[in-house]
Amino acid sequence: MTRPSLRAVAAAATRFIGLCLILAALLPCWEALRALDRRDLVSALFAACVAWIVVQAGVELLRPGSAE
Amino acid sequence: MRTALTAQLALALGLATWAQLALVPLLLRRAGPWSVLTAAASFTALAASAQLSRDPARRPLALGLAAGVFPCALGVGALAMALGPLPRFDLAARALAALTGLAYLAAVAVAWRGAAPTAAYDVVPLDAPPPRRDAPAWKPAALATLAVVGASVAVLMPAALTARGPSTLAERLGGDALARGRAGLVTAGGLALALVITLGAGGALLRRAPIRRGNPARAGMLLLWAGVLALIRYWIDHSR
Repeated sequence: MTRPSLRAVAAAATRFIGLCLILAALLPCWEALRALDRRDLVSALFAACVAWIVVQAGVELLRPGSAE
Repeated sequence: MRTALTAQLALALGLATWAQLALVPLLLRRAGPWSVLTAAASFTALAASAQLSRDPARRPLALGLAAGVFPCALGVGALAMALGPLPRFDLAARALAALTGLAYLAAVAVAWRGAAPTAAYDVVPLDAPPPRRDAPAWKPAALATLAVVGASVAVLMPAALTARGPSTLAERLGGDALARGRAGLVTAGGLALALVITLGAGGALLRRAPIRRGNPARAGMLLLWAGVLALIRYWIDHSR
């Protein structure tokens, strides 16, 4: 049985962080919908932008070729 | 053959989505001009996309209509309807509409991948570096996570937020119509946010040949931007 190389472990860890970031985007999404519920459109827009950027950061870590 | 079948399935799912999100609300309430206009626009986009996709030269335009104009017209229509009192649209109906919409987008993506030319990937100059190895093992997990996020934002969060009764004084005084209008705004906002997130991230994950490699430094910069935006939002919220 071969031991995984440090590079492969780093790639797996990077992708795991990417998945966690996509899941973490749920929090600003919830904030955006709560602000929309209060009719606070500016706050909702900012929270939605934060959610989108966090998802993009997660996707960036999940792209093929990262940390490989 | 398989691509044609997938295209027909996408058309059927698109019609089902249109019927749930545009036609039924139009029939159940007194429709405003914006609702009629956006419903007609979304139907025209879907029909034109089905017609144009038969011609291989016009498939990019058909894809733009099917994956861009049609969802946007539906979203604008949902926003227009959310400004007035909504018909009964309970959790099961929302879940069914969201699932149909997501299945439609998936069918469009699959049909487009099947129709995409593959010759460009076969011609590689001899002195070019070898193509990167794609690691497909993480893709199902990434897409499943994205689906969980999309379903939560489109269905679960609006349902949890709008399950309670009227909360503000204006809604207590204004009655059911005001509270339902607020619920419609939250539902439309959740659906739009889920569409933007899943379309953008899903497109980036499903692309066969990524334009550039993933870059952890860029991810760090994006997180920095998100932090700055969150701070600005905190400041705006607490300065009023």
